[in-house]
This record gives sequence, C-alpha cells and structure tokens, in this order.
Amino acid sequence: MVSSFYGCKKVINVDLKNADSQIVITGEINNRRGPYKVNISKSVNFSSDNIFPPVSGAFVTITGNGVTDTLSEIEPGTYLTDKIEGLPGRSYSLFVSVEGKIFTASSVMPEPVRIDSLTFLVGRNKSVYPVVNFQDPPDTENYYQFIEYANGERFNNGRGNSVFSDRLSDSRYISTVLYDDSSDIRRGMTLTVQMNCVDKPVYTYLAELLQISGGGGGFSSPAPANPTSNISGGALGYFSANTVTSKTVELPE
Amino acid sequence: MAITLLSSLFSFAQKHTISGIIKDEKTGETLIGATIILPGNGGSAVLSNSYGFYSITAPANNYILIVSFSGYKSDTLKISLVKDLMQTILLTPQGKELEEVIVTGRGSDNIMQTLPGVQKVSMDEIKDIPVLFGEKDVLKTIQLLPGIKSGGDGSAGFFVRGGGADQNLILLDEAVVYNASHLLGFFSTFNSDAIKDVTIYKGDMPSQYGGRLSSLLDIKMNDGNYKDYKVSGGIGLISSRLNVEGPIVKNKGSFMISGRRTYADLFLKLSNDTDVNKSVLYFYDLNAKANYQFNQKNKIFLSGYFGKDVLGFSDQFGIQWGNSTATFRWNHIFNNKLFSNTSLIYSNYNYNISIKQTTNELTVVSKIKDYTLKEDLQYFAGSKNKMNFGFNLTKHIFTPGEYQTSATSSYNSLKLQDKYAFDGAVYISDEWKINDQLKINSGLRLSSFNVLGPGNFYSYDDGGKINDTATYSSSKIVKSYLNPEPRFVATVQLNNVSSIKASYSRNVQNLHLLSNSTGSNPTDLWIPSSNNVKPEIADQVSAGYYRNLSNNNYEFSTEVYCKFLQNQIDYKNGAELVANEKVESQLVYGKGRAYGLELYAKKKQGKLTGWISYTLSRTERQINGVNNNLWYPATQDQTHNVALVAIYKASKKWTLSTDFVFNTGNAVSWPSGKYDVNGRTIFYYTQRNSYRMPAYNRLDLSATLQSKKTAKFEGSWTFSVYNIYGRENPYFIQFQNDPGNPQKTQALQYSLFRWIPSVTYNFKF
Repeated sequence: MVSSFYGCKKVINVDLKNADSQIVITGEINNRRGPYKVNISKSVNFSSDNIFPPVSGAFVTITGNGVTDTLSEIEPGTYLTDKIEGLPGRSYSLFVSVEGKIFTASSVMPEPVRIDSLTFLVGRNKSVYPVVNFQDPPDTENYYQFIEYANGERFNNGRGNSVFSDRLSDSRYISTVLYDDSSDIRRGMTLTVQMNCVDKPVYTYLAELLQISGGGGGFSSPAPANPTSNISGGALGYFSANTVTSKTVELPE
Repeated sequence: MAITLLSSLFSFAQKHTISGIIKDEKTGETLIGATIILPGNGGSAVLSNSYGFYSITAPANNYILIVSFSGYKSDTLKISLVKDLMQTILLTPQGKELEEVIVTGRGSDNIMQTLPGVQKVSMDEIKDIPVLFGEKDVLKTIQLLPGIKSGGDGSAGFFVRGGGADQNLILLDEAVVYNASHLLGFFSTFNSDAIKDVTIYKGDMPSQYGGRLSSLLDIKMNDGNYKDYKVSGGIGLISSRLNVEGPIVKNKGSFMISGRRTYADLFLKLSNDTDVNKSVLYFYDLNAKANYQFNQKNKIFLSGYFGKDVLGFSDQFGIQWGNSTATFRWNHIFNNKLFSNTSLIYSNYNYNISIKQTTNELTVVSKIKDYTLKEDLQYFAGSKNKMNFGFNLTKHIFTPGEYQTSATSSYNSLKLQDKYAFDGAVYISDEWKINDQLKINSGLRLSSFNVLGPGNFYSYDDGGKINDTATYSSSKIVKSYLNPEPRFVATVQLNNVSSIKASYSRNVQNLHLLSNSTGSNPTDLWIPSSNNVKPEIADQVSAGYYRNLSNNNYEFSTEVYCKFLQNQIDYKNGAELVANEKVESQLVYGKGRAYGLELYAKKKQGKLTGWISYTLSRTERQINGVNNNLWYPATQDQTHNVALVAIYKASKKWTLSTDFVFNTGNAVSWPSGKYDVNGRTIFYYTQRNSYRMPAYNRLDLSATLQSKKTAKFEGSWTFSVYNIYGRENPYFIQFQNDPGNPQKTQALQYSLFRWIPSVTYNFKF
C-alpha cells in the first residue's frame, strides 16, 4: 500500500566503487537423504555481468555424529558429501580451506516441525499468497525458513525466502502468509512450499538477507549492511543444518 | 549632558521602574518580543516577554520611550519617571502597503538582542510562502532557514546543525509535542491560523529550556481577540480550517478555537471497490484556548490541543496516532520587576493499531503520558541586569506496547513493562549589559533524570543476552543522572549596525527515539535513559557576525558552529525493535561531531522582500560496532544547502511568492559488489554511508489574489504549484537485476512528487 505513494521511477547511472572479490560459501545439511551440497563462488563488481566465478579445488569437510566427511567437487564450485547423515538434534561443523584461507562454521539441526496444511489468501490484482499452517512447539525457540517452488522450479522472482521466528508466537498455532517471494504465483500453477526449521544464527542471517534483498535504501528499512554470517574467517554466505518438510497443492484455474 | 553625567556618578540617584504589557491596539493580543527603548538610559533596550510584559529601571528623569515591533507602527511615549509607573502600551498594526520610515533602534534586534543561532519567522511570511498542497506550514518554512534541514519529500523530521530528528524540542504554549507531523510528514500539526510567534533556537537555548540536544522550536498561540468576535478560515483541495475567536469579557478575557481537517479520503468513498471505499485517510487538529485577566497582577490561561491521524485500509488494517495536551498557566506580577509564570501541563501521545487478517487479529496500544509543573520567574533587576530562574518537574509514564491477540491469532498477547521516570531541572540565568558595547548572557541549568520502578531492569552481555535482572518496587529510584548544563553568550556591538557574538552551551537529552529506518514512522519508540542507556550530551560552540544595511532594511549574518555529541545511539545489525522487552540489548553507542558555516541575508522592506540562506556543513558519527568503528557521515549530512525565498507585493490585490531549494544528497550505503546466494543476486556492502544521493532541487510558486476586502469581510484566493518544473527528485534508490537484461544489475530511482498544483480560498470576518 505504501508503494502506491511513489510517484515515478527511472533508471539512473551511479558510479559505484569496486571492492576486492570475496569468497561466498553456502552449504546445507538436512534431515532428508544425502548427499548434501556446499557451493563456493566469488563476488564480482556491480557493473560486471551476473556471472559469479565458481571456486575450484577447495578442501571441504563436514563433521557430525562422530564422522568427518570430505566433500568431492562434482562440478566447478559445487561440493557433495559422501556418507554423512543429517539427523535432528545434532551439531554439524563445516571446514573449508581454499586459496590459502580457512573458513569454519557450525550449526545445530533443530527437531522437525511439520506443515499441517497449505491454504491461500487472494490479494488484489489476482495475486495469490500461500498461507502455511502449523503448530509451533512450546517452550523452545523455533526459527523457520520458507522456500516456494512453482511447477517444480524454485521461485527467485520476489524479495527472497520468507522467514519466521516464534519470538512473539511461542506455542501458538501459526498461520503465516508468505508475501516476500509470492508476487508471481498465479492460478493454475503447481505450488510447493518447503518449510525448513533452522537454528538461531541461520535465522539471523536469512532475516538480514531479506532486509537487503528489497534492493536496499528503501523508505522504511535500516541502513543496509552485509548479513551476519555464521561462517568465521571473512566469507559471505552461511552454513545451515536444518530439517525439511514440504507440501504441494495444485492451484485451481 | 553634565546633569546626566553627574547623576550617573552618584549611584544613589533615585531609580524608578516603568513596567506593563504591550498589546495590539486592534485585537488586544499581547505582543511577544516588542522592543522598548529608553534613550539616554545607556540606550539599552528591553524586549517584552512571552506574555507581553516589560520592565525598565532608570534614574529619575523625563524620557521619550520608543516602542516598536515588526509589522506595527512604532510608538513614542513621553514619560516622567519620577515614581514607579505601570503603563500598558498599545501598538497599531502597520498597513501592508505603507512603507514606514524606520526609527533607529527598531529592526536592529538581531544586532544586540537576539541570541546567536536564533531565527524568528513572522506569521505573515509563513502565510506568503508556498508549500506542498497550498497549506501554510510552520515546519516547512523553518526548513528554508540556514542550519535547518528538511528530511526530504514526504518526511516528517527536520535536522538542526547535524543533529537527529528526535533532538528538537518542540513546544506549543509550553507543552512538549512528541510527533509534530501528520500523514507521514506531509503536514505539520501546527495550524498557522492559531499561531502568534515562532522562534527557533539552533542549540543555544535559554536556561529555562532543555531536554533535547539540537534545537528549541518555541511556538506560541494567539490568545484570542479581546475586542470583537472574528471568524477566519480557508477551504482547500485537501483540507479546510476554521478559526473562531473573541472576547469572554471585553478587554479582560478572550478565547480562541481553531480546527483543521483533511478530507482526501472522501474521494475514496466514491470507489466501487469495497476495500477502497471502506478505507479512511484523514487527520484533524483542534486548538482551544481561553484566558482571563483577574486584575493587574493576575492572569490565567487554559489551553488544549487535540490532534489525530487516522489511516485505515478496508477493515483489515487501521492505525491512529495523535497528541493531546492540556495546559493551565498563571501569570503573576509580584511587583514591577518580578514576573512569574506557573504552568501545569498534561500530555498524552499515543498510537493504536488494529489488524484483522485471515485468522490473525491484533491490536496494539502504545503511549507516553507526561505530567509537568513549571515555574519561571523573571526578575528585571535594573537597567543592566535581567535574571531568570525557576524549575521544571515532569513525571513520564511510558507504555511501550500492549499487544492483544485473539485465540486464533498466530501471536501471543504481550504487555511490555511500563516505564516511569522523573525529570527535574532547576535553572538560573542572567543577562548582563556591561555597557553599550558588551552584553553577557550566562546561565546554568541543572537537570536530574531519575529512572523509577516498579519493574524489572535488565543488564546485558556483549552477545545481547540478559546477565542480570534487578527488580524494583514502585517509586524506587533505579538510576539517577545529574547533569549541569552551562550556557554562555557574549555579544559585542561594534557599532549601531553590526555586532559579533560567541557562545558555548551544553544540552542533555534523556528521551531517545528509536528509529531504525531512513524515514520516520509514528510507531517509532521513545525510550527514557536507563541503567543501560545513558543521557545524550551535546556541547556546542558558535560564533557569528551580524550586520544590518541600508537603515536596517537588509539584515546579514554569518555563523560558524562546532558541536560534539556523546552517547549517540545506533542499532545492531538486524536489530529487533518491535515488541521487544529486551530492546535495550539491540542498541550500540558512540559519539558524533558536527560543524558548519551558515550565511543568511534578508531584505525586510519594500515591495520585494525575502531571504537567501546557505549552509556548508558536515555531521559524522563514530559508533562501536558500526563501520569497523570508523567515523562515517550521518545519514542527514548534506554538504551544501541553499534556500531562496522571495515575496513580491505586485499590487494592492496580488502578492506573488516563490521559493527555491537546492541541496546535495544525503549520505547512503550503496553496494560495492554483488554475489549469488541460492540463485539470487545479493549486493555486497563495504563502508557505511560512503555514497551520496543525487542532488535535490525544486522551485515553487504561488500567487495570492485579494478578491474582496471591506471592513466586515476579507476573502482571498491562493494558487500555488509545488515543484513547478516537475523535477523527479530522488526519494530513494533501489538496486535490482535489469528486467530487460538479467545478466546486469541497475539502479532505480524513485521519486515522490512532480507538479502539485493547489487552490485555497481564505476568508476573514
């Protein structure tokens, strides 16, 4: 509704400084069957094309359950686990050694929470927003991330994956509307909503990521800054041990 | 000559006092800041105070008193000061077409009288300057003065000498106004019809005031016409206003009621869309005031302000916020040298939100209640000294948030703890005219801020976790902050038309607005100082040169200032400020510095009047945990700021006016790179605020036609255009993938207003 206040918009030229290329690590281990993936790439200058060079030849391990699994690079920048299992309640650590630098992270996989049902809110202009319904477990701090897939493809057109924290909702039955990524959902699509239960540092990263994904500099947002990563050593990105649950519905025409 | 020399040598020569009230002859309104000069008495002048009272003490002699005030014909009075005199002085308003011969001493208040860093704006000027939607607006007009920056299109706040938007003390007839704007900043809460005087102090404020670091905006309302019933008002495209005033008892008591409401939302009712026609968007202001003079020594005032903004979308979302204040004041004249004003003030600033969405129902209430007692005594000691002393006491009760949810809501009900504080100050100040050339104002304000129970008070570790909880019972003192605030001004008169001034002042602020966004919202939270949050402190040094030219027709000034700020507040990355009992764990602290040069030139007489102001400035912060602990420019930093105002009285019927503003951009944080996370392009940031928004400029025009003017009725039409060349001024910049070429990223500039015409009809009878 606030967006209707904006009179007009136009593309402008801005002279942005260049920065040294940064290492970006994203990795996830979850409670579905493996293998699990870690991606390593680099940042580029604003004026460059959106081609983010993958980083090859890194030494990557994930440790948990008394097992240390060394990941193999299956294509440039993408590393897969071999044998480690993702189990709720366990702590997992990531170790990356690349280009003479060492990066580490750790994450605790929470207990799973399942989606009860998926309903819908029809907004203005025929837009459809999924509503995820589930019971928040009492007396624990729970953090959730939602990923939407339309017709099997992961949605990347909106602001980003919605997140939810039970700071104000502990032990409630939650019905949360997913606005952030949902602007392109239309009737007739097959919609899958995946709900990941994440730990607090990962939630913090994803929430701050969402704040700068609006494009930054918005009227009612704080000064943009890089999201607080749970990776130490100076890399961008995050490492998450999370549970996964999903529900799929066919939207009627 | 020999006689006056002899009588000044003999210090026991009898001295007498002349005192009284200065009023407008036509309406009976008291005049604030009128100049009264007793030539020969060292040529010194006295200004009438906020209630029109003046007092001059001089050796027994015959004098010719000269009384003058901007917009009025000067008056001269022969007096024989052989005993104490009480003299009410009536000044006649000057007709607009007349060009008055200026009596020396009049129009030169800026040279000796006013403190440095002070600007007064006359209500006539506010009336003639075009602003958005054709509304006269006190807040928008002061932003055309040097050192005072606007927050930009659609923004509520203003920034004085690099200070924050919450560092301005805004007083309406002595009552503090927490949220001075309506509708997200498009309008201020001040209905210009009801206002008598507007003065802004850019940091050097008199010792009787304190509580905010950067400025004092002191607004005094009209009392109400003591002689006749008058109605005035205006009808515009967006809003209308009505002002009714008149005597309660002729010449002894009067009242004034003034109201304003917008009706933009009436057009929403015409829509076929049920969501839209159930939506509301309006605000209103109501000012009411009554006063009564019991006898020569006693006068009482009762005033109130009620204002509210209402925004609602269908029945799904509604927010209302507003201020209400009620003030009782008593002026008591103890004797011809001692004037007292006692004020009792109640204020309530609050917002209510209600949300109804699928199964989520939520209402939120948040408010601040203040109970204040102020006592101010002005002692006109002699011809050389004027003293001020007194105290302020305020009890604050903060209700940060009460959240009520239904059983099916996704959220728990929550009540954040109420907070209590007792804010007291005592002050004394003296204005000492050492001789014709040198005047010293010195003052000391001692402020004591006390955080009280009941409640739980938390201490946090570096990670933001609670490491200690202390519980206090009702009225127990949790933490006390005592701060002396010295104030000092030296004014040196170089000659009749020029002077230099230098000053130092310290201000302390114990109420802090938590606003983690570049815009400001009515839901931003005010918190008091506490066991974690220390009082903010500002030390400002300034110096200036003031010169009048051409018989006081032109006024010129240049000022430089330097300000150091301590205990400035900023926020951790990803700070959670909403509904958070542990909100103080989200704050980080540091210091600030600001410095600048202000140039100002004003033409006061003739068919063409106006001013030009230029500010060159810098304001920076250094906060622990932000920007690698390095200094960075504050968001409101604008290197160059220019404003030009011109008012041209083309004929008896037509007045044209224009204003032009230009400023270089605010400091912003923009990306210096990009990378991929989960298939999405994410921007990479390095330093904070190391970029600048593109420059802003805008020209507005307005024309007023006096369509009818008789003894009984006056009507006029005002036509105005805001942003006459329709420039797309930057509101904010967003970065995104180019929709036409997803391999590239681009910067998108949003603008708010292009050409905005408006028409208003004003009437008076």
